[in-house]
Amino acid sequence: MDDHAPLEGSGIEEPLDLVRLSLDERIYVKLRGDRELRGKLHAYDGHLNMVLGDVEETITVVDVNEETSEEVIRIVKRNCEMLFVRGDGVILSQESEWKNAPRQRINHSCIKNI
Amino acid sequence: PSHAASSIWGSISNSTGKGVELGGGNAGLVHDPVFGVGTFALSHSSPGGSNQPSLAEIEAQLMRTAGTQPPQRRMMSVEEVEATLMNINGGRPIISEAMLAEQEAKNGRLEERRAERQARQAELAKYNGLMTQSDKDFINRIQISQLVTDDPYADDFYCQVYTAIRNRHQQQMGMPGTMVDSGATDRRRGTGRTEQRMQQQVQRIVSDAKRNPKRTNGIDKDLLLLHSSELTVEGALGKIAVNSVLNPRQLLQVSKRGSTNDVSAGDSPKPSSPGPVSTKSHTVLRWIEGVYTYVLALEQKRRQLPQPPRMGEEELGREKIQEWNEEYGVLARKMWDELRITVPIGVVHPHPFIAILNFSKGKKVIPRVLRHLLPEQTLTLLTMLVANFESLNVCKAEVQEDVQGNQEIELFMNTIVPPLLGFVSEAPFRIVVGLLALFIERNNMLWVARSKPGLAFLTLFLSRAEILKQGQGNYPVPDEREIQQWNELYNRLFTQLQTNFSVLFMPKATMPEDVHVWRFLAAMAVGALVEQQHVLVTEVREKVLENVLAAQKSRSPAEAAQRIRNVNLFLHALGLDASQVAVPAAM
Repeated sequence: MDDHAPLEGSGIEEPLDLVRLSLDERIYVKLRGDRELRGKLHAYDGHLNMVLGDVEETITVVDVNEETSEEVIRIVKRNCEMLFVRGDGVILSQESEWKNAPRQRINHSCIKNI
Repeated sequence: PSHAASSIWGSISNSTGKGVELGGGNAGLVHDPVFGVGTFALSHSSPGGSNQPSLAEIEAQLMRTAGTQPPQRRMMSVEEVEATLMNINGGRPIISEAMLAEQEAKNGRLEERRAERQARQAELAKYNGLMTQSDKDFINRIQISQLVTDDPYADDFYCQVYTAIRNRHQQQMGMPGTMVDSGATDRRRGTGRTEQRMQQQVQRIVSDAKRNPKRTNGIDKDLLLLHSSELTVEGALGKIAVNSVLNPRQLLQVSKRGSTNDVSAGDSPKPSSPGPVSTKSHTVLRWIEGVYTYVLALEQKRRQLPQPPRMGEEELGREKIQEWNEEYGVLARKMWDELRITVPIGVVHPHPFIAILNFSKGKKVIPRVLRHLLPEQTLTLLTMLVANFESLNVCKAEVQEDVQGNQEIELFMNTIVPPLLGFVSEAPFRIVVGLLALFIERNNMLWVARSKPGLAFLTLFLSRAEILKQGQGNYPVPDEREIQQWNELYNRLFTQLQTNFSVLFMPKATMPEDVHVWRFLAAMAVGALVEQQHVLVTEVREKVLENVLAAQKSRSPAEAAQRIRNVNLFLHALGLDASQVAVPAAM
């Protein structure tokens, strides 16, 4: 990544520099397949492969009832200590608040305001 | 007697028994002088020397070995029976036909398996010996030469750091025989050394090839191709870019626009981002990333020290070292500027340097930064930090529920306090006085003292001053005027904190974690006048009693010992001890 590093000035020269700013911070990543991740960004590269720590994955599943053709939205959450994300599936990433507190806090509800 | 005897026989052969045929011979009852009538059937005696003695022969042997035994058999002990049975066939094992058949079958299977294995090996070895050792070395050389790097920390960072961390852990655990070899693990020791040798070889080959492009053979030309990104071919005007494993062809050719150098002008206040969610300041984050870039560059520079000059090339060697020093200096200065420490106070709140320290990344980079700073710069850094201390986000009272905040405080204590502690421990008296004066002048002492980092710094300054006053530092004992200054400062601090000493303790009486408060009180007590000591004792008395009582009632001896230790930190500074504390019965 050193080719992209702003050695001479402190301006942001390309979009990947914005991702660089989020290093070691908590980010929100939207993935293909109706998935979202919230975790701490440890590493990334030009493909947007990422290594995230202390991750919470949120999968939004739509169950269609066959008879009534009613759509029920279900949310599945998973947690991971360390996760490698293939850049292929990343749609967007954004800085995030500390919503997913470290393990000491108790999760009060499964469905949170995203 | 005959019953006993027949029972013995009954156990060794299933074909014996009263009246059972054996071997298809003439059956008949025999009157046996020893065993009585009808005990067993006789087969025809087998030809001498066969492995299958007939029962008659067995019996005959037994009789012979029995020898002078009286006709009435006494009961033999188990061992004697065993011994006799073992000796029956002259010590040779008695093998029955069934056993033989089993043996043969087993042998057959074993042989089958052996034959299979051999056939497989033969298949695999059909093409052995096609390549000579030199052929194999040739291929190995090409493959390994692709792995060879000049700077393993740059090209193979994660593997190097991982092995380093693992070796350190192994050393800590005290594993015997752990080799701390930066280039290899225990198993890969051999390949590590080979890689180094390969690297030297390849470097030599490449430099030779560059010098004598005509003399290089095909193999070395390939190596040269791999390790250079540009080549000068004969007849070509200028250099040609060469794509290899280490220098892949770029998919896009993006030219970087040279951005203006706005380091000194970048002191604009943090622009608040439009979104309500984000409290991140992009400007500060950019500064932090700038610092990291320079720190990484400096660390890499350190690893690429110019080699000591060879004989006769001293002039060149000195030039190289000078060049290196200049480049290093340039980078170090840029890093210093990026830290924004020299930005004047009061222009912006919080001070840019403090804003950098408010991020955890900012805290983490400081120990690495300090390694490349001159002592004056470190002092300036410390001065800036002390001057703006109360605006730090970690300078606040610890709240148990605020996990995130507590982590930041811990991070501060682990990353920033230790190296600065080292610095202050070497500082002369007037510097310590100056720093404490600035500290008291510019910060609300009560607010600062309620935070862990604040107490840490106060303790640091107080204890260093005491050491210097007693002449235990490397500096001469301070003179009258300096001591006078110090005393004034101390009194100012004391009056500001007076009546609030007990408030410094966190309201969680359950955990004996207020070591740092006790340490601070001890540091205060050492420099205090008698009246001041009285004040200290009066104010903190409740806490001392509380801890002593809790230690007495405590169920865990470790916790009790910890509490007593904490309290003693303070009491010993006053010349007292916890054992002298008499707990009133009313409590």
